[in-house]
Amino acid sequence: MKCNFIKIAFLCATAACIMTGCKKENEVQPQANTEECQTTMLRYAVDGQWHTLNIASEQELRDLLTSLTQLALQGHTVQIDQPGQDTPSKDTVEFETKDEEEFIEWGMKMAYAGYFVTMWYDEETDTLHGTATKK
Amino acid sequence: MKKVLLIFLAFFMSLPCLRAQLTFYEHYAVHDELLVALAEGYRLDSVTRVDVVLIQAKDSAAWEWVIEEFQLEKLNDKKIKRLQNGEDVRFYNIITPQTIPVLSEENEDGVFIMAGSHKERTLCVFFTRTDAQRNIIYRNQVKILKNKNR
Repeated sequence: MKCNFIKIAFLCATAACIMTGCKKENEVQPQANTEECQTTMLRYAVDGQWHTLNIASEQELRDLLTSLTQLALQGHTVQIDQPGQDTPSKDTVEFETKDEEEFIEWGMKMAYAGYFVTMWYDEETDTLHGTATKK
Repeated sequence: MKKVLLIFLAFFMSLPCLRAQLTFYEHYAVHDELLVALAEGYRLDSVTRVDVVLIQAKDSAAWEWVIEEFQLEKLNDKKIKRLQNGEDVRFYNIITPQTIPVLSEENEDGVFIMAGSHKERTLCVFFTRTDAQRNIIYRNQVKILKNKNR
């Protein structure tokens, strides 16, 4: 009788745990408060056209990678890059902005770092594009 | 008398500086397929002047030669397409005299700027001494790029 009581209590506890969602210690839970949420900036390019995206969750990153994989499978050229490095280490760095001063600052920084800077202007989007290539 | 002496002194002091520009100009001016000009004290803005040698290729073959000679970046398909659409692709590069054979022979110091336009098949070599000159040249390249497209 005592044994049955323990079994029932255990089953009830298990059921309650399943229904509420078992929270283990040290498990990383999604942040409900968006202000506390950590974001990572990611740059990606499709056929050489660069875009910047703030990734706030693993799911967003997964979605982006799925989309990029699909595009790559369709024959598009896909590149991924993490920006924010003051000293560029890559052979080619691409940059685009609508802000002329920002573009000048970037170009001078790259030129002094020993890069060959090529630039063009997209009138339709009013965007300055630059490519810095290591000499 | 003092004034005359000062002018002579200034002239002789400026000779070594001008020598590299002249050597560079004379070296490329003999090429028939290139238009070459030397501008001394070219005005970058109201207060900044700089010596510059301008080289313009008369045709695409000559421009290809300039690209090879000055080790300019070879354009990828995307940039070539832009040129074919009538848009400009400009470049800017900080170089040392050692990069250009004719200047390395002169043992010239200083920092030079190679800037220009693939659309206009033009290369300018600026003989700069200060960061301020180099910054203005780059700024002007960006401004030309935007204005030409408008």
